[in-house]
Amino acid sequence: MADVFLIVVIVIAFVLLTIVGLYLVVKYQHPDDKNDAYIPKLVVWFGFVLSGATVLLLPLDVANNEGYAGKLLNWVYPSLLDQFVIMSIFMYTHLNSSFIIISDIIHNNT
Amino acid sequence: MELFWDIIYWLIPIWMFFLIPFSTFYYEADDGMLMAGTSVGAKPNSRICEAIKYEMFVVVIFGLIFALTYLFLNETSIPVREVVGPAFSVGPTYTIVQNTAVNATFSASQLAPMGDQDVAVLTSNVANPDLGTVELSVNPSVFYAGLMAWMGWFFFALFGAIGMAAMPLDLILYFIHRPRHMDAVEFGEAQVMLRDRVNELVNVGELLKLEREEKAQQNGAKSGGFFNKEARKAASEEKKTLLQFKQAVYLLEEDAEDFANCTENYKNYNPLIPIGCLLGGICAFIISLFWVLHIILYMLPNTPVTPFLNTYFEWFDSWFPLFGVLSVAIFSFYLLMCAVKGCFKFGLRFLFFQVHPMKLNKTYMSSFLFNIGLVLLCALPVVQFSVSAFQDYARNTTINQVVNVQLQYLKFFGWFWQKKVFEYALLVILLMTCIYLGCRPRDSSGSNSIALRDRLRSRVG
Repeated sequence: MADVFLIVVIVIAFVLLTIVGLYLVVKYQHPDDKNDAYIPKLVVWFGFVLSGATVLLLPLDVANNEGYAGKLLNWVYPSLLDQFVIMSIFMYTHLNSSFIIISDIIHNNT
Repeated sequence: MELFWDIIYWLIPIWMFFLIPFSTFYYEADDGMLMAGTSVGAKPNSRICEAIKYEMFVVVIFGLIFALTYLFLNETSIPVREVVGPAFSVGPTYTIVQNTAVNATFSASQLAPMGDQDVAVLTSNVANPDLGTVELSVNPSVFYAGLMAWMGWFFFALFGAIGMAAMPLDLILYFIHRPRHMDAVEFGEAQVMLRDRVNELVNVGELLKLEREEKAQQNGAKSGGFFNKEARKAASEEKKTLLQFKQAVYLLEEDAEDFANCTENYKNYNPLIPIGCLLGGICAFIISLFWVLHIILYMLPNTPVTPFLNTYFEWFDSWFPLFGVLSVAIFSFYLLMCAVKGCFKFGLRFLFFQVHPMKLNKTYMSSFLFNIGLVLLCALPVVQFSVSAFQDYARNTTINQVVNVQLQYLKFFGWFWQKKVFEYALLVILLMTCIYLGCRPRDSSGSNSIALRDRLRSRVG
C-alpha cells in the first residue's frame, strides 16, 4: 500500500512552499514591476520552491526509509494524534496565508 | 527517492545557469522604448534577442566547464574491506530431515543445529587489515550535484558562517533598538541629524555626477585603454566610491524608516514585531550554538566525540515520531536562511559587490534574482552539510549514499570533503565574525559620508 500519510506530508509542504514563495514575490516586489516582468517573477517563484524543496527533501528522505533495516520511524499507520497535528498545521497555515494574501490584494486595490 | 533527488540535481543547474541569468539579462536589457526612433537601426522590443545573446555566452562557458570536468574527473574510489572466506566445499554437510506430513512446508527446525564445524568456517574468514578501493565512475546527475555543491560551498562557507553569527545578534539588536516614543527634544535632534545626513549624501551624489561628466568629456578626447594601469585603477576607485555611496544611502533609508516608526507611524507600528524578533533571536542563538557544538564534537574529529544531535533526534522520534524529522528540517532550513542573511551582512560591511537587500514593496526583480541564485547555489551545500552532520540519524537515506559514499571519494573534489576543508573554513569564519561583530555590532558605512564627500571634493577640485 502506498504510504498515504507521507504523500499528504509532501503535498502539504509543497503547497506551503508555493504559497510562501508567491507571497514573497507579491509582497516584496517594487511598484514599478507590478503587472510586469512576468518571466523573472516565475523564475524567482519556482526558484524559491526549488531551493526549499531541495533542503526539505532531506527530512523526507529520512522519513521515507521504510524498506531498509533499522528503520527509525513508523509512518505506515499514523496514530490519530499524528493525523490531527498534521491536519491542524495544514488548516492553520493554509487559512492564514490565504487570508493574508486575499486581504493584501483587497488592500492594494482600494 | 532517487528520482526525486535526480530531478533536483538537474533543476538546480538549469536554474542557476539558464533561467536566472536569462531572466536577469531579460529584465535588465534596455528595451529601447525610451530612445525609440532616435537611433538608426535600433529595433524596439528586442529584449528577448538581447537576453538570448548574452545567455549563449553563459551556456557555452558553463557547458564547457561541465563537460570537461565530467570527462576528466568523474571517477570515485570508494574504500572497501576485503574479506576472504574458505571454499564452499570446506563447510560441513547437512542432511535435511524429511517432513513426512502431507503438504508440509520446509521449516528451519528440519536442519541440524550449528556446531563446531560451522564455527571453524566462520573463524577462517580473513579480513584484510588495509582498506582497498573500488574505482567507479559516477553517473552525470550525481556528478553535477557534486560539482554544484562544490561551487556552492565557497559561498556557503562564507555567507553561512557570517549568517550563523549575525542572525541571532541582529534579531536581538532589533529588539534592543526597537522604536520608542520620543520626546520633543529627542525628536528635534534626530530630525536635524537625519536632515544633515541627507544633505551630505545629496552633496556626495552631486559630486559623483560632476566627476562622471568630467570623465565623459575627457574620454571623448582620449580613450583610456584596458591595459592602461592608471585608467583601470581610477575606474575601480570610482566603482568603489559608488558602492560606498549606495551603501550609505541604504543605511540612511533604514534610519529614516526607524525614525518614521518612532514618530508618525508610531501608532500603526505593530508592537509584536520586536517581541517576535527577540524570540526568534533566542531560537536562532540556540540553533547556532548547537550547530557550532555539533561541528566541533561530531563533524571535525575523525572519530566523533559524541553523536550529539543525532542522539537527540532519535530520542525525539521515540517520543513523538514527527519531531525528529521536523528538527532535521528546522536545522537545515536555518542554514539556508543564514546564507541569505550572511550575504546581506557581508555586502553591507564590505564593499565587494552590490547590496541586494530584500525590502517590503521595494525590491526590484534583479535583487530577487540575485538572492534566489544565491539561495539555490547554497541549497546543495546545505544538504551535503546536513547529511554529513546527521550521518547517524539519516544513515538509511538515499542522499547519504550519494553524498557520503559516491561524492566523498570523488577525484579532486573528494579531497576537499575528506579533509573537511569547508567545515574548518566555516568554523573559522564563524568565530572571526563573532569577534568582529562583538566589537562593532551596528551596521555603519565603511567611512562616514563626510569623509566620502571630502575625498571626492579633493579629487574633483
